[in-house]
Amino acid sequence: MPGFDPRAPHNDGVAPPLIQGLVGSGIERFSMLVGGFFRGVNERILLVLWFGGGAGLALLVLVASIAQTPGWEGVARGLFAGLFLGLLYLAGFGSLFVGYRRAARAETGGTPAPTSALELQLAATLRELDALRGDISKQIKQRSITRIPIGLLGGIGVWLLRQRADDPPGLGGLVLLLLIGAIAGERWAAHALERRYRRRYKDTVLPQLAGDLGQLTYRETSAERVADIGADRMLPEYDRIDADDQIIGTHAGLPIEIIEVKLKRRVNKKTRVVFDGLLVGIELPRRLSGTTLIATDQGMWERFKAEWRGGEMASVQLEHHEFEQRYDVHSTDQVEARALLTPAFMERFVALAAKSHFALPGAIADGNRLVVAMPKRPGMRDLFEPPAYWQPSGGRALTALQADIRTVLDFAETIMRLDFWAQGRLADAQRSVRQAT
Amino acid sequence: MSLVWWAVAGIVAVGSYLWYASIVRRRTRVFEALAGIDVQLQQRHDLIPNVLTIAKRFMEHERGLLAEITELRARAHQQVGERDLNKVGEKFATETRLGEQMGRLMMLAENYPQLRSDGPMIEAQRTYSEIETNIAAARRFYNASVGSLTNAVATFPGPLLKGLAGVREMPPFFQTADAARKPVDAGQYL
Repeated sequence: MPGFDPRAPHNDGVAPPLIQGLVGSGIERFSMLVGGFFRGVNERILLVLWFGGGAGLALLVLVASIAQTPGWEGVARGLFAGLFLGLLYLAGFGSLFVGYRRAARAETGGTPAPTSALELQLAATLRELDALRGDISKQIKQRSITRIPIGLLGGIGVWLLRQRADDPPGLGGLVLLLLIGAIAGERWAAHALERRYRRRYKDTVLPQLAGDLGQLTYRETSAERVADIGADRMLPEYDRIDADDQIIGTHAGLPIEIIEVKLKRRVNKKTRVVFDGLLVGIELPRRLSGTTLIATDQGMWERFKAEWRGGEMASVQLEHHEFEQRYDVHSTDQVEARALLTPAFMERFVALAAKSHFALPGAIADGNRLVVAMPKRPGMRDLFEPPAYWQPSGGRALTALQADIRTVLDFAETIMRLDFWAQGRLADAQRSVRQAT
Repeated sequence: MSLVWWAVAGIVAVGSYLWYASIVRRRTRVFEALAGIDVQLQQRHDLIPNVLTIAKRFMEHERGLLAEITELRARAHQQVGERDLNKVGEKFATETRLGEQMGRLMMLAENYPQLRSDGPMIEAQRTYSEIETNIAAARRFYNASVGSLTNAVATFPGPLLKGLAGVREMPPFFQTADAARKPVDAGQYL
């Protein structure tokens, strides 16, 4: 059996599906061409092209406008359109210029990712995954042989059916339907196998990466777990829940669990994501028995309705002005709520959203368990996502996944620092690590 | 009397009733908060004999402090459940003094290595810290309730309705000791 060489490319012979590969390589080649231009040409010339091009374009539009419509109207129209197009050019060229220059600097100045040790540690798993990748690639090719033609036939069928309609599609429509049919056929061939690979990758690699960072592991979770930890009470209403990634274990001597959750709700025939973020649960070293809910401010009307309905949870009025403005707090025990929400806790909780990658958090403390829900900011990617089967199973993918776990652990530590008692445990654990090293 | 006057009288009556109900609710909440403080103080009183028993074994030189704590604890214990608002201030003063002396004891315990490493003492200190946190939380709840009642009573038509709502004298705020408000002299500790 050949040994695992971390320096060797692991995607030998494993290619993406045909159509996806063609589209991907087209984009990649275009990107390389533009990148080569920006890297190859002298910076001064690029600056001249940037600003000179913008000014030239504005002037060209002005002249053309005056030539088309002589008089003040032409001048005004030319100035407005020229300025608009010139600025558009400046912004577009500028973003490409800055982006490619930054990428070039990162490539030359950055040190190679220290993945060798990690890859060697996971060698057996990566070897197994590479075998699976090869197998999946073969199976997808085999399935594509029948499924892409079926997709093409489907496209032709739709085109023929549409010929009876009032406005039948022409040759261009046929090409478009054939393309859609081929892509659908390819997806049909690849989807289930890709999912199997991703699941296998997560189940085998992530527990080891998590274990490498402490007494932690990764496991697949379910929607029920979100309800079990009581997070339902602070999350917005939803129809569908996607929650399959969970990091669980003990950190700084405290039991923790972190779940990535996406909640969706159908409103006016459109499915919207109502929450996309992390749920971080920590067992506090306290003796609390009540339930305290910290939800973002719902407004006066919602507060009045909640008070009117009554229930076992009563509103808690706190002294921290900023916290009071942002959050509504309800609890079954007024004293316990304040024992948890000390002035320091409130100060740090308010600062949490400002300092992290996440938006305004919400939290629920049920007994000693504190669960904080942190919605991601727009544009933040999904965490714990493995590479596609045609990409290397090791290398950057491993580093990125480990970085994801580190990010959520840092975040869990930030949550621990909210509470005085948990903070003490964290400080003890960090002191022990320092002494040991 | 025209319909407008009837309407105005009706609005005034409903408004006054709602204000009266609000004062009653806030007054009840003050007593609820007072009971909350008592629960936490009771826990403190239950723990103190255990702490003193452990401390006596090691802190021979602090007999005066231990005796004072015993005396304060006995006095404070008798005041638990006090609902006479004239005497509540006195009860708070005793508890504040007891808290100060216990704090001093915990600080002095740091000078006794045997006591510092004693398992039951470590557990007692942990429990004591937790109880102190809860007492502080109960005080905050009480002070928030007193503040809310004071606002309701001081704002018109509160002064007219407070007698009807059973608020004869205002409950005192739970204030920290003067010593705690003084600036810290780092020289004493270095």
